[in-house]
Amino acid sequence: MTLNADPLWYKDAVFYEIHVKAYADGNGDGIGDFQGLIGKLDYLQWLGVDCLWLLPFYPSPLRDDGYDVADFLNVAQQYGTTDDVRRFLDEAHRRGMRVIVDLVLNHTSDQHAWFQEARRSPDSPKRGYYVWSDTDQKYDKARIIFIDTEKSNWTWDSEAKAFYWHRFFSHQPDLNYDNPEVRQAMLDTMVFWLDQGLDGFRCDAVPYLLEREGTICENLPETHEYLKEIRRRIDETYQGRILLAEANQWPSDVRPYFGDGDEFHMAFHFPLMPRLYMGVHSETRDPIIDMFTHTPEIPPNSQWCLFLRNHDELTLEMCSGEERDYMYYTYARDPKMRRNIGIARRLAPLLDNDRRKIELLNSLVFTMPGSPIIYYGDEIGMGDNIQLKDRDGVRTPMQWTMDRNAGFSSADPTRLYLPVVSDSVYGYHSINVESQKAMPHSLLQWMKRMIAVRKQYPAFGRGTITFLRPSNGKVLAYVRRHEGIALLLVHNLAGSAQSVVLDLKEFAGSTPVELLGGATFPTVTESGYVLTLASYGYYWLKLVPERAGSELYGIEQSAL
Amino acid sequence: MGESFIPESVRTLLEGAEPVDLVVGVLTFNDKTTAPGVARAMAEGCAWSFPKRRTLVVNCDAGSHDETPQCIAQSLGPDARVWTIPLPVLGASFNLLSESGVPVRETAVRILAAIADKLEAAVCMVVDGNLKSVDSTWPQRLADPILDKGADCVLPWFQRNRYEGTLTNTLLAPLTQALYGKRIPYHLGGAYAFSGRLIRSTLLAQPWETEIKQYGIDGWVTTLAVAEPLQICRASLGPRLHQAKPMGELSLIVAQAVGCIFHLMERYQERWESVTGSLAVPTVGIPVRLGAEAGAINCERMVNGFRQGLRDLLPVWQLILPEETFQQVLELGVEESDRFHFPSGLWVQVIYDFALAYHDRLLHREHLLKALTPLYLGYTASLVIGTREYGVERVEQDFARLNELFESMKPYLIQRWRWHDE
Repeated sequence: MTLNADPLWYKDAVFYEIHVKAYADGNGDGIGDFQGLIGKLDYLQWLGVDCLWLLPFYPSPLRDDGYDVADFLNVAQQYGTTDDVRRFLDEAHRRGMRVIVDLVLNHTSDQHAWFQEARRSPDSPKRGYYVWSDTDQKYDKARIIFIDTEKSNWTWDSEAKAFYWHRFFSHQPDLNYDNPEVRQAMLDTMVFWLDQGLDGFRCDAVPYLLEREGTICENLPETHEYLKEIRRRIDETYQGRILLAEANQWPSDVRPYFGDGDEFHMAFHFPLMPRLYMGVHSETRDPIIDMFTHTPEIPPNSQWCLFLRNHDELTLEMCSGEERDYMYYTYARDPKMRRNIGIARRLAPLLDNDRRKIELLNSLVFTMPGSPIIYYGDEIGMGDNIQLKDRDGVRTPMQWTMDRNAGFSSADPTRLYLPVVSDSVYGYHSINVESQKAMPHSLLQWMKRMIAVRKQYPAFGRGTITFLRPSNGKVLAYVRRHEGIALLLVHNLAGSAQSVVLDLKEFAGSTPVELLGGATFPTVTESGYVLTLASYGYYWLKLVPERAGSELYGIEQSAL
Repeated sequence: MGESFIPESVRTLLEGAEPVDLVVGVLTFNDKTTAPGVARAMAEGCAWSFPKRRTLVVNCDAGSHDETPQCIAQSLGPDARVWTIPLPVLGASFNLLSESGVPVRETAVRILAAIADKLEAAVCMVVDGNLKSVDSTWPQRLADPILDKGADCVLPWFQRNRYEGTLTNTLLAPLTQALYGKRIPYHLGGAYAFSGRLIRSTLLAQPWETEIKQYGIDGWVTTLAVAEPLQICRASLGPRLHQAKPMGELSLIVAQAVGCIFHLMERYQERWESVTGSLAVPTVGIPVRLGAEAGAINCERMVNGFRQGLRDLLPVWQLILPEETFQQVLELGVEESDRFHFPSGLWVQVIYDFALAYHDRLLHREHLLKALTPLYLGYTASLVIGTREYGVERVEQDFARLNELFESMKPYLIQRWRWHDE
């Protein structure tokens, strides 16, 4: 296989998020690594995903699971070597898959050589790499993000004899992007990895790169200037590579990160995620449609990334207090399920392991405007372990088989970086890739089919969206259109069967054809189009124009 | 063979009729535009090639509303010896497949054979009335092998375009070749010829009322020709141009054509089990190759047809196919339409597994046979996608490879067929 040569490939792609340490252990030390990951590329190709997103694999003291980077230009020894990464990239490319990786632009670990050097003396050449102050009162309008653990965005460093600025954990000092050397150093970092063959970066925490007094120190114009500088470099030398922004903001605030198509190629749509859950639990489409009405247009070469879950908590930062309470009450009654401002649980447990709801929510992210991201393990309905600290509960080893350590590692079980999930519902004995591959109707097989169907219609990734507003508010229906193809997507958000009358006058004469099975539905007429849906049911329908409705295979008359 | 099936009108005609050497049967149903030309070409060809032989043209008409029989008689002139035999159509008979679109074909062929028998004919030729490409050389090509070379049965070999006859080329012909070891252009209908000896043998004393009626005469005759120790020959007849008629649902076509072969596999088990390899059969005329025209084939729709089968017939396929085959088929469901690839080895495996399931009566046989249709669509789409960018030679190579695969994988069929019998 070869890579899709379309420079806008990311608009049609299905992404898959992987933690190297959690996926497959190739050397038997209990920690996932690139050797193990290479061995699982065939599975990922089989699943049909287009682009892998790897969490940070750089050397790190691992106080924030690798987001505290100690050396941007190397690979953590437990994961392998730079050669291993290159081999992994070659193997992925050979299978038609691209790879992007997390790049933590905003900060480093306090163990990074830059910080160690900077703290030693005010005269250190690296002193200017970080933001120092004699007082902890500067930039006091900036919010504290990790309210569970941090009291201030400033921390006193006794060696430096100064406060240093950090928007996240205190062991993660923010880089000073007012310093041209920092800007160049991070550009050099990107170039280094692009030269190894990486296909882009998921840029972590981009709203916080710069600070200005009197502001909340988020989304500043100067930040956008630097990000555009990065994009220029990519466009000049590395066409086809992408930048994906992690900006946990309202869509209107994320919109500037696309610039005029000259900043990020993609950005996560954070606020949509909790509203998908809200919509299903409250059995109403309003929160979902409301979020899209607040989502501005983006440049034609840009794309949203949609997701149901990821390695972090299900963030509720972009929810009102009332919405947040509702989400906690609904999805995280046990305080152990809550982390920071969010819920640290996997998809299946969040949805009570209800296959219908899991399919419904996946159907929504597969069909709404954007490119879907699947969090590793969610394709088989893996569970979590809320007893583990921080967000480790959703970062447990991938469950491959029902063998020792879920087939993840041959190490002694006590040596695993985290225990495998082994409870009676989500444990690896019942939930694993091997068994689901063998079952034709498993969640895994369903995901594979949905991915394949989605790939057939660029309208999913590139089409416009028009919401229909039938009187039954439990049904979410919309039309995606692209280059003459119209897809009708209908979802029943309720736990009971629903009937809905859709106004499809515009498509009178068309024949809806169900995309998963090819079944033909009654022809659309001028009057209301009646559909019935099972509880949490959904339809993916192609509206085939009248003239094309009687298409033949072309072999009927001459088969014999 | 018993004679109760012979209509009274035919009995009357036969009474006192003089013997003939050649019987030319023209099967028609609303073929006014083509059948007169067919009859004329065949009659002229007989007169030209066999001037000393007596010829009788028999038009078996299934109840045309367009005066086809009258037009035929008119085109042949008053001196020609022509019988018109009207065969009333029963509604259900319309379901029987044939490219000629002539219902009650099995009755017509049976009557033609009876006429040839009664009139002591040496050759009985059967030609479809909707053909446009018949010319006066056809009688010689069809009858010569019987009259001069002692053949019992002459089968047609038409020149076809690259993607015509997909069911024939991907299933019927290679399966027949692998089973019985004879490389024939398995073509259902159009034209064929039987010797008087064959007609008078016990072979045609078949279960006409049940099995032949169910599966159609064309497949029956063709399979019998290769399964029995007959001298067969293929006649190269050039392109097969015909007036197309509605053929009914594709699943019905597949069920009847494939069902006929599967059904006869049970009768001829001892024959095909011992056959290895294959031999070409003698040919009259220039060997034909595929034409370049690709036709308007809708691959996306075929792939979607396959996927629909995957969704709707999954439990049925799971019952029919062994786990390993089933898994491979399942995986095809996620292939992208424009890169859809159904490996030939898997296709052969699927056909053999369907034959075994048919033999074991794993489920209602008609349902089983119809369940093959989406797989056929998938394999055909894969064939077209994989070869459309190449010359016609590539298509021929693929067919040749497929034939070899059917032969090389035959031990799998034999082994399991025996297991199931034990």
